[in-house]
Amino acid sequence: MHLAEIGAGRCTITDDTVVSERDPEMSQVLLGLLVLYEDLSYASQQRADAEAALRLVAEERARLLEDRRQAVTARDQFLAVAAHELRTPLATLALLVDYLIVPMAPHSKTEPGGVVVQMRQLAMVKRQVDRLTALVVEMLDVSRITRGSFQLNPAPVDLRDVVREVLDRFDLEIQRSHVRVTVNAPDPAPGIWDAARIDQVITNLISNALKYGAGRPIEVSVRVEASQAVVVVRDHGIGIPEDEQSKIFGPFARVVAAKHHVGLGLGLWIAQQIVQASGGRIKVDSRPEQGSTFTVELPL
Amino acid sequence: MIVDDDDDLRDALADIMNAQGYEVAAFADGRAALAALEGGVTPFLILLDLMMPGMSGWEFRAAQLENPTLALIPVVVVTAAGNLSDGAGTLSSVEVLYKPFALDILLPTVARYASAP
Repeated sequence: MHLAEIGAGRCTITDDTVVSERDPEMSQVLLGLLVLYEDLSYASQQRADAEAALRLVAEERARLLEDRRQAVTARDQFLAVAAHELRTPLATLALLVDYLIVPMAPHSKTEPGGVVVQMRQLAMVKRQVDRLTALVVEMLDVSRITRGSFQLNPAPVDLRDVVREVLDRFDLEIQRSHVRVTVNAPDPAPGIWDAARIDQVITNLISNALKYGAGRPIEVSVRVEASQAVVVVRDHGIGIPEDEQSKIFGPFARVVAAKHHVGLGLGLWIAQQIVQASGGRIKVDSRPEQGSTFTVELPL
Repeated sequence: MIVDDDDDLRDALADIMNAQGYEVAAFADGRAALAALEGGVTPFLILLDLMMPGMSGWEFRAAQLENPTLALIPVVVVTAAGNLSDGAGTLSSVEVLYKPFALDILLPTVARYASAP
C-alpha cells in the first residue's frame, strides 16, 4: 500500500490492512494513521453531538424567548384594554359629577322635570360605579385564580333561580337593545353549587350573547339530565370562526378586532375556571354569522 | 352630533349639551351617524368616539372625508384609546379629548366650534 493512495482517499486503513502489510515500517505508519483516524472520527462524533445539544439548547431558548415575548404582548394588550375599559365609565362619572355639582344649567333644577333628570343622572352615576366595581372585581378574580387562592362556597340552589335573577338584572339592557330573550326552564334544577359564582358564569354568557348577538333573539334554557344540570345560552349573532373557538376560553382572549372591543376579554376564561372548579364543563358551538351556543354542564 | 356606542356616556353628553341649549343628535355607531349626515343633518360639530361596533370612528371619519360636503364638518374625537393611529392618518388634523375629560374642558371646546363662522 502506498501512502499516496491513502492520501488520495482511494483506500481505507483497517486493522486488516495494518496486519497484512509486509513492510514493518509501513505497518507502523499505517497503525499510526489508523489510530489518528479513529481519534479524529471520535472527536468529530463528539463535536457533532455537542453541536446537536447546542442546537437543542438554542431552540429551547428561542421557544422560551418567544413564549416570554407573547406573554409580554398579551400583558401589554391587556393593560391597554383594561385602561380603555376603566376610562369609559370614568369619563361618564367625571362629566356627570361635574354637571351635578355645578348647576350650570339653572333650569334643569328648577323645572318640574329637573329632579327627574337629576335622578336619572344619579342612576347613571350609580351604574358607572357598578361598572368600575365589576371591572376591578374581574381583575381581582384573575389574580386569585392565577395565585391558586380561588375558593367556591357551594350551597343548595336552584339553577333556574340563578338564571332568572341574572336575566332580571339585564332587563334594562335587554329593553334598550330591543332583543327578544326567551327562557325555557320547565323543571326545577336543584343542586349544590356556589350560587354567586354560577351567577357570574351565566351573567358572562348573557352579556356576550347581547354583545355579539347582533340584536337577534337569544334563547336560554335550563334542563336536568341524568347526572347533570345544563344551561344553554344561544344567540344568532356574529359567531366565532372555527380556528378561534379554542382561543376564547384563554385569558386575554378577544376574537373581535380591537377597534370594536368591549370588556376585558377575561370573562369566558373566568367562567371556565368557575365551571371546572365546580366539577362541570363549558363548551361552545358556533358558526360565523349564524351565532353561538354556549353550554354549561354542572354535576348534580 | 354625538357618536358613541356607550349608552350612558352618550346620554350624559346629550343631557349636558341639551342643557347648554344645543340641539343634539346622538348615535351609537358610525353607520347611523353617517346615514343621518347623508340624510341632511348638518351639525356644527361631531363628537366622535373611535372604538365602536359596526362602523368604528376611524371608518366613519374615512367615509366622511370621502364626501366633499360632509368633509367640512369639524370633528372632535372623544376616546379612551391610548393610540389614535389606524395607519390611514385620517385623524391627523382633528382635535382629541381623551376620556375621562372634565366638563370645563368639554364645554369650551364645543362652544368654540358653535361660535365658529
